[in-house]
Amino acid sequence: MKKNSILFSVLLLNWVIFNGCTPDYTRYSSKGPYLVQSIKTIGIISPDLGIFELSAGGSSEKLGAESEKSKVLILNAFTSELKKSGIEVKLIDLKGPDSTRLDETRAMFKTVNEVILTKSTDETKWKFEFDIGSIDSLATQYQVDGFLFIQGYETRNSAGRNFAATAGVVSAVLVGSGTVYHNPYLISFGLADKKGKILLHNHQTGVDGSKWTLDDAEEVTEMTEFLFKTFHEGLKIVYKIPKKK
Amino acid sequence: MKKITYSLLLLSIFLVSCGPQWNTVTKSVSDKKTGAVLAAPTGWKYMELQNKIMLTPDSPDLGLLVYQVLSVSNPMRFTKQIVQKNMLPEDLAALITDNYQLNQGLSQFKVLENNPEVLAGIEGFRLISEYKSGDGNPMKMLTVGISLQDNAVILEFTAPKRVYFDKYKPEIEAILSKFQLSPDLKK
Repeated sequence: MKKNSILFSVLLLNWVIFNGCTPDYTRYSSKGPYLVQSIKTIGIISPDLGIFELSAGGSSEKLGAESEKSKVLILNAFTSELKKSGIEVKLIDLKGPDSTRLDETRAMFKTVNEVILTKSTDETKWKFEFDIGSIDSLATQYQVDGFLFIQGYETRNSAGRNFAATAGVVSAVLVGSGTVYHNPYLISFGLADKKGKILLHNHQTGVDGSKWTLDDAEEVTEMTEFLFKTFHEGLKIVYKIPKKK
Repeated sequence: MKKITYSLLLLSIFLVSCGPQWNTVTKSVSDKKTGAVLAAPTGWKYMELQNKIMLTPDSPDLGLLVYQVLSVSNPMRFTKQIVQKNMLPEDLAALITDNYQLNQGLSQFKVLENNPEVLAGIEGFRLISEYKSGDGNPMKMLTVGISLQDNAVILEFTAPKRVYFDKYKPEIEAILSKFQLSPDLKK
């Protein structure tokens, strides 16, 4: 009886952690919501996204077609979400005469993004001060008020089936049966103003139980809606700018 | 079932408890072997490794100071050259530069400045260099080194060229100006 109760508790906890709730990791800089409201046009630099296949030997190979599909779906979904808040989007490709500057800016975001992701949301929720350096000249050139950077990956196993996330494997071992197997994935985005200050950051990861796949149109739409939920709320509720008389 | 759970628990405790960890600077950080004192600001993080101390204001990716002692008996990682006893500062600078140039992790490496420097009262060198990280992010590096009787002391600060190198440089200069070595090591 006691054993059954423990097993039930573990199962319930497992369900809550891996199925029952999807945590929200939205972080704003101290004046983030207020500053985000001043942004009317956003440039999205080509996302740094990849879907990888993990072989039995442990090496991973980028799946070209799936990665490209994911990039298109995510760009469309992000554009659609930003339009809901009346923000115009300009898609900026890495090719062309500015490729080095754009690539270096994106690489700088990647470095800062990795630091943000290592810090807990609780630690940075209200003390979120990260900087990628001035992007004023790029903003002027592309006639945007800020840039949005998207970074993400998903890993699949070589058999094409969903690959168990580490947390999923551990939970399955503890519970004693296969329970939740999701592709390990991580998607994050940051919105920077012309000064390079990250005003807003959010991410989702499969380890937390959300079950979206990065190259499925419906799931990408659902995931993006979730990622932008607090973005829309922040614009409308948290910091409402008084109208000029 | 019980055995698996215990094994997993033991493994996780072992993994968490062993190995070097980041600690918070409360006063200053000292190297027990050489008596070197690094007056890092309170709240910085540091980690002690063999012949090396790493310090960071917040995150190693955004600024990392590495203090290391290069022994005359250990070859450099990339060039396999060995530090000579009482090397001239310019020779030591050349040795360090060669090692950077052979490091494939430092893409497009180039030296911007190479000047004399005095550290803990000993004549040495100061290098300022740039490279691109594996992700293509431009990085900047300040390296200060001195040669001693049986080894060389190197202090190397690396940060992204954008924002963070200049942001932390004044604090790094303060650490360098207060840097101390044990009197025995100076002989």
